[in-house]
Amino acid sequence: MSRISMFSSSQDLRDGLHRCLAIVQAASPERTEADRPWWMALPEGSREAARARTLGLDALAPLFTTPERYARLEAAFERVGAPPPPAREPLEHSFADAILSGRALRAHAGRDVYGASNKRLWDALVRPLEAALDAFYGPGLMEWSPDALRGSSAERAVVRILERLMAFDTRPEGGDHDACARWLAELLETRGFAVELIEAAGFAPIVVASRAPRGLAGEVVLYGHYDVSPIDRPEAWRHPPRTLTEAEGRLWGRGVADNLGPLATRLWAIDAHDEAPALRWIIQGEEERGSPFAHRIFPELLKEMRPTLWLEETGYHDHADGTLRLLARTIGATPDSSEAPDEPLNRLLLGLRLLMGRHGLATREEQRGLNKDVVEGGCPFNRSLPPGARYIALGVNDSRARIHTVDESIPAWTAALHRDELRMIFRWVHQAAGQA
Amino acid sequence: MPPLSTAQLDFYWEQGYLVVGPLLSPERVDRLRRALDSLWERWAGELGVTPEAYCRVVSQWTNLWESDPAFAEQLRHPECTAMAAELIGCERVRVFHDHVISKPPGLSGAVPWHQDYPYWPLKAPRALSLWLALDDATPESGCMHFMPGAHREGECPAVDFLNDRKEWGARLERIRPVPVPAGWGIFHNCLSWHTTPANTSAGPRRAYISIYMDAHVAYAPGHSGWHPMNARVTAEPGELFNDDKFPIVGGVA
Repeated sequence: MSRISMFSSSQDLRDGLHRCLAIVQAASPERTEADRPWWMALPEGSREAARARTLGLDALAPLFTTPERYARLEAAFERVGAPPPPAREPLEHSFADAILSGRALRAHAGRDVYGASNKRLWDALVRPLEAALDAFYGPGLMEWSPDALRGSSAERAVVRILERLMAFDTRPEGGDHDACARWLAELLETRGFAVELIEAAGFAPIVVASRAPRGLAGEVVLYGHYDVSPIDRPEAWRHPPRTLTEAEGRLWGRGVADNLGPLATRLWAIDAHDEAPALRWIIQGEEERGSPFAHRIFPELLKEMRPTLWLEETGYHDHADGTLRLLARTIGATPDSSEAPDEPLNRLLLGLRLLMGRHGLATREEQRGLNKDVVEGGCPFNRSLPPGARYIALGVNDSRARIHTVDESIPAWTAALHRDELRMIFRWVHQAAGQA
Repeated sequence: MPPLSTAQLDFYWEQGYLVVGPLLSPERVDRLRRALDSLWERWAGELGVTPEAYCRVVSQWTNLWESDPAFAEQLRHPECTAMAAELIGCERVRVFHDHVISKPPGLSGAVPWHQDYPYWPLKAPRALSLWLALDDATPESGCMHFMPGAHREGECPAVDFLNDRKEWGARLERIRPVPVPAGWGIFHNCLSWHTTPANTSAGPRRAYISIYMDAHVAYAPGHSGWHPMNARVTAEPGELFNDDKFPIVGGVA
């Protein structure tokens, strides 16, 4: 839990209230509103201070206490499962008292010097929101750390796994599909999975790995593939396409974005979490040549599965500012259709918005699946999802990934974030399964 | 002739505090109250609020001796400064600061158990507070409470009043409420553990506190994380405090 200290109560409170406003915004029922930075609604002259979290208490007060803002506050408290905030009038009085104390302190070095009036506001607004978020999503969402996340270097464990995966030639014309599937099976077994290889002559094996729950209810089905697309014009690449290169804050090479990097990141990240719901991981080896084997196997394989969440092979950030594209939907009556996320899934999206906000990253929700128009015959995973399935596409790629073409790459900074996303997903799955 | 008896000095050194009274005549108490009312009225007016609104929470104001002669006079009261010097064991005492702490009826909370010295930028714990009651201080109105003798165990980290979760266990069975009438004073060592509960009475609970230190104690900002008085210090760390803002006000008679 974050806390308010008598040695810094004014600053602590202002930080907490700015964060509350971000939560209120992210909890908006309308998704474009939820994705919009909260400070955009302010008069232009205040936006920069709001963005920098330097608004004073007198500027913050009306953002909680006008009738319209208070109604949003009440709705947000309810949405995150917090007890109702104080009534509007007492809340106004609490703000007035804290503002008066601040003015008296500056003018007369006196009045409420220990910060009790700041603490009252903290206990009324910041603490209940944080307690509700911590209880549902796990600790940390109330914190704000727009740190050097986007400048962070690659996780060494991810790099090691990725280098090993890239050593297999799993291009359509390559001959290492069997060996790669077996290596993946061994690695998954060391991570506690029971692994089955679905094999048939002339096809690349499909890896189906299952792991019993580790302290959390519910189930996640993850999808991925270990094959990579062909390499046309290798001479046009800035870095050798068959080996992994770390440069410019990115990882370069054929398959790093589609789909070996996301796969390596998840293999590392899942190992980093002590708690997890039941996991089922389906990894095929022929996506880049139309998934003939998967099209044959998946309908039957996926038919009986009813996980709490289906997790797509990866997802995207905008390269320019790191904005996370939240591709989320529930599957409608027809395969691969996209309907609005249901209420439980919306709570996961809220958590992901807050996780991004903690790092100073924006989100943009889109009600669709990952774009796989280039996949001949469509994606067998997406086409086999049952009606009502909750689907989300989330991962380490960004808009500069250039899959299927020269200079394929992924950003180095997204691995740690994806680990945290998975932790949140696991906690959410536990909660959602408990409410089912 | 020392102003305090050997028995009083022994009590202070053993228990960490000493009640002395009456120290102020009713007229002097009334003068201090009126001076405080006048300051509150002025300050409230400067901020555009009523004195009632201005004073409705547990509050503290420092360096009143610079704002009203009644407090300046009290701070230099020869008998009080002589007692302070006796208790500290020094020749001359310097003011660190003074302050009023007000606990209005019905709107106050407890101040947690704490020692004063961890907050102060002083090189050594050679200082004390003289807590003068401007109203009768009772257990109901939030009088001082002490843990007798705990000061001899030395300095502990500063307590964060907004995050106090220290467990005291059996120690709380030995706490001592120290009610005093208006005009009486309590000297307490800067390492004494003390607290005041909420004021649940119908009346105000105001106290004027003078903090005296050995005039030879040096400024040590590194001792405490931050203190509002640091802004008034022009001396370098390790030097004696500057006399203009931290005057020497008396000593052993």
